[in-house]
Amino acid sequence: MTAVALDGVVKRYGGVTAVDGIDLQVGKGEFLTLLGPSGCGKSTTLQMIAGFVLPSAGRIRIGGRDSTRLPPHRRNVGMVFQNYALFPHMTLADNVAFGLRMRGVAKAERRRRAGEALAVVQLTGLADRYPGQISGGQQQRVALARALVIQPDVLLLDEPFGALDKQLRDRMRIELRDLQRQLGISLIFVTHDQEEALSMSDRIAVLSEGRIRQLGTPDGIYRRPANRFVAEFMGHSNILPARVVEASGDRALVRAGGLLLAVSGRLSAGGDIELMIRPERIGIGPADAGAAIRGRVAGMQYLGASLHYRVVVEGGTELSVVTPDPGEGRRVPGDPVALAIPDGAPFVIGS
Amino acid sequence: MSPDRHPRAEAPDAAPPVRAWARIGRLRAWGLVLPAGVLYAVTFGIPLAMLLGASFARFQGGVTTPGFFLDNYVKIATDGVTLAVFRNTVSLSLLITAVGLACALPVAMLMRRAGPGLRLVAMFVLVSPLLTSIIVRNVAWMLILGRSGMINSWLIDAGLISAPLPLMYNRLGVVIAVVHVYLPFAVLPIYAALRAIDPARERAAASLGAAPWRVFVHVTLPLAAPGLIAAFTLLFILSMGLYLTPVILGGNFVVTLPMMITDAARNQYNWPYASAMSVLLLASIVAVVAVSAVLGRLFAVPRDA
Amino acid sequence: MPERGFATPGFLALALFGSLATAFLVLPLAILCVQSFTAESYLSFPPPSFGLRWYRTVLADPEWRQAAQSSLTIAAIVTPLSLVVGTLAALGLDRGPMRGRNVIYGILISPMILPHIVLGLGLFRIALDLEIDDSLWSIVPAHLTITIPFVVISVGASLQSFDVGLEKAAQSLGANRFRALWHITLPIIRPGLVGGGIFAFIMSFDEFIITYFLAVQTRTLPLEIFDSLRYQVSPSIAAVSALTIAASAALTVALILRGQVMAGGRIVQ
Ligand SMILES: Nc1ncnc2c1ncn2[C@@H]1O[C@H](COP(=O)(O)OP(=O)(O)OP(=O)(O)O)[C@@H](O)[C@H]1O
Ligand SMILES: [Mg+2]
Repeated sequence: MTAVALDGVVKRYGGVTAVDGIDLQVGKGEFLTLLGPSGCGKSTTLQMIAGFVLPSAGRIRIGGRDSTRLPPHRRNVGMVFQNYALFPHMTLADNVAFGLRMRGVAKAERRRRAGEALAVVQLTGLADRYPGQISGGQQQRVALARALVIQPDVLLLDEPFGALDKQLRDRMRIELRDLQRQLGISLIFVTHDQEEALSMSDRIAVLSEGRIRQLGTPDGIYRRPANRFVAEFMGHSNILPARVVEASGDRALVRAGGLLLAVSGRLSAGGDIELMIRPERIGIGPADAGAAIRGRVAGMQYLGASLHYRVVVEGGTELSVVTPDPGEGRRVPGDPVALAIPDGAPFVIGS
Repeated sequence: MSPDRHPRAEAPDAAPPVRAWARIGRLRAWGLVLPAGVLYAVTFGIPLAMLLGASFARFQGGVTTPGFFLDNYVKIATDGVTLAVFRNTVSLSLLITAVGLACALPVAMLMRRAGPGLRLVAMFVLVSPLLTSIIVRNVAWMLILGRSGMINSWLIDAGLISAPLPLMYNRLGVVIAVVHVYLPFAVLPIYAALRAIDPARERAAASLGAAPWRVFVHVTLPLAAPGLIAAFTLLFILSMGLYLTPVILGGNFVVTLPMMITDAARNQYNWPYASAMSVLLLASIVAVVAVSAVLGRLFAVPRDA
Repeated sequence: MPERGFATPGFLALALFGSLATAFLVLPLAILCVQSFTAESYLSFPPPSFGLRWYRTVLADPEWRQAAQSSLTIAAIVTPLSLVVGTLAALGLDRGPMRGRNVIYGILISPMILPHIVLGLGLFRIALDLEIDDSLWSIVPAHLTITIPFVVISVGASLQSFDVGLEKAAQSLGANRFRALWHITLPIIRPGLVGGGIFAFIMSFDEFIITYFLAVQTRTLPLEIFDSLRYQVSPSIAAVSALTIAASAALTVALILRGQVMAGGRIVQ
């Protein structure tokens, strides 16, 4: 059964189309991420699901009920706001219990369930503090507990980790994912950070200009982007124009600059295509005469755990290559090197 | 889902879908302004319209004839008294405004440089008179400035003077008492403008070799101009409407337009004339507001690039 | 340059001026209060002897009591009404469209710069026509007109710093708009409400000229003081004045502790 279903949802602001026809089903217990650059309509989509923005067209079903025109307080939706939106004049316990109070739950029961929810996010003992008296990470958890305690049909999170530092963000990622699995909540997560999306989601919807560009599992989206936009948005990639030299069945040989590469896919000989190769899939080694691809290091960036080389290969094509830092034997600009592109690394993203 | 736990959330299925908050419309939010709007219409929209109408009525031998006559305005222009009082009111207002600004600017600058503790004290000192009854403050000045007030009795006791100085029942007393009342109104806008100035700009000027007074003239003052204009406007407008303080501390020696209006309405029952003078007063205030709006635009601090 | 603790000549001059200004603002009121404790039948500074004589006289005097009571009654009716009407208006402005907001705001606070004499004159006319002069039916609306701007400014400023996201959060948790307002917005903007309320109370309590036009039998405190001043400043006036100063000082402390100071249409925190 689906927790949330969007059917042709559109939102126009005057001449601006913020969301341009989104169809999406979120399954029960699924962790779905809306990923996309700034201004692509992620927040607008979420706000429409929460009921703060009325769609210009399309329907929204939540928990099997048509909720397109339902006001926010009559939808059973939990929301975690980017700045947490904790009520500054209420204790943490009262913050968490607020939704239950609005639902007419008796006081003792409210306290008990708020306590439980705070325990779930490991904040037992802070119930009587005020939001101003706890850290950003703790506020984040309170916001989560507050949204969870009402047992929402779906939990919506709009860039919830934006205000946290890197370490805390990494920890919260794991915690949120664990919690979501453990409680079996349906969850829609909004972010513009592809790493965040890849590390947590069951499925990712990549958005741009108000449309879903690709919907799929993290692995599928990263390894097999449907188009150039997705390929580029999902991290570093080498994108090369190429021409099909030879095609047979679902294998083909293509030429990209000075490179001759084998790819899979039904292609026709002579056709122009675009290839994507992830930098970390390319091997780099000392230049030796027998190597298939030879080049020269044009630049190197030190990234801590890894090294990022720019290598100009024969024929003038420049490739990005990322390798773990070997510690010694780093190459420097000007070094001759040999590259290895394994079978399956080049992926056809457009023809 | 557990329906038992969500009695409220479950119920709406049966209810007709209510339009969402977003759609309820920002326009409709203005409905909340309606009670105030109705009140204002009754308490000053309609009265002001009536006033304007009455200013064109004719008043002869105690009888008012409605209509469109210019008698009252002609009288203002020609009776020799009203225009003189109007000029007197304007010059008194300018005097008060000048003295008020001259006192307010240093106070605002001091507040800007003060630490949080001192600033709190300054706020208290500024706001407490604001919250103290004007008439009570006038009484306090009477006790100090009067013929047998504190200053005169001290000076006489010390043998410095033989007859009391005329500190009251003249412009001096009025200006002192009014500035006492209006100083906070002048300080706060100037302080707000000063506080918005990034000290780094002044440090930059100083680092480029500007002496403190040149920093003040070339950087601080231009950046504080909007606050000064606001303070000027406010003080002038408030001064134009003065009634109580001139009556109490000016005796009958400082006559303002509002005093004439009151006299015409309450003692002579000459509504049309009182109305015409009110229109004159309003018009001069509107003119000042307009000029200050133009000045404000002229001296506006451009936004940061 | 606003660097603290610099004992430059400029700063010393400013500090001196500041002390003078403080003396100018505070001393007259202080002197009045001291004089009010005189045990003599005349006022002088310093008084030759001290006592509560005039406070007893004033508190026992039916006319002063009557005047204080009418002033308090009027202010007690006006304050909550202006809070309700002013807060609604401020909310409406805050939630309404941007376009036209400045115009409506300008109209709402215009009674602050309109000469009260003109308001009084106009109101007197309409009150006479409606035969409600000299009654609460005219005095209360008149006072509301001058107190509402203060509430609009004070509450409006609080609303500007209020995060509307909090109301959305409440709605997402099941609160309808009214409950979100009641449980979340109003408690959070309380400093603005208190500040506006205090100003409204004072402005009503202190209002002179409009009441002067409207009132015949009704004697408010300012009217009573004004009438007594016809002859000279008597010790009883000083005692009455000192009592209102004490009340204002208490309200000022309350206001400043709330971090809200307002004048001239601006809020300075
Ligand atoms: N109330 C509004 N009025 C007009 N345009 C709007 C409004 N809200 C959003 N938009 C426009 O709609 C588009 C999508 O906005 P949205 O906030 O959904 O983007 P987003 O994906 O959440 O971006 P970000 O990552 O920056 O938060 C933007 O171009 C934005 O300018
Ligand atoms: Mg967003």
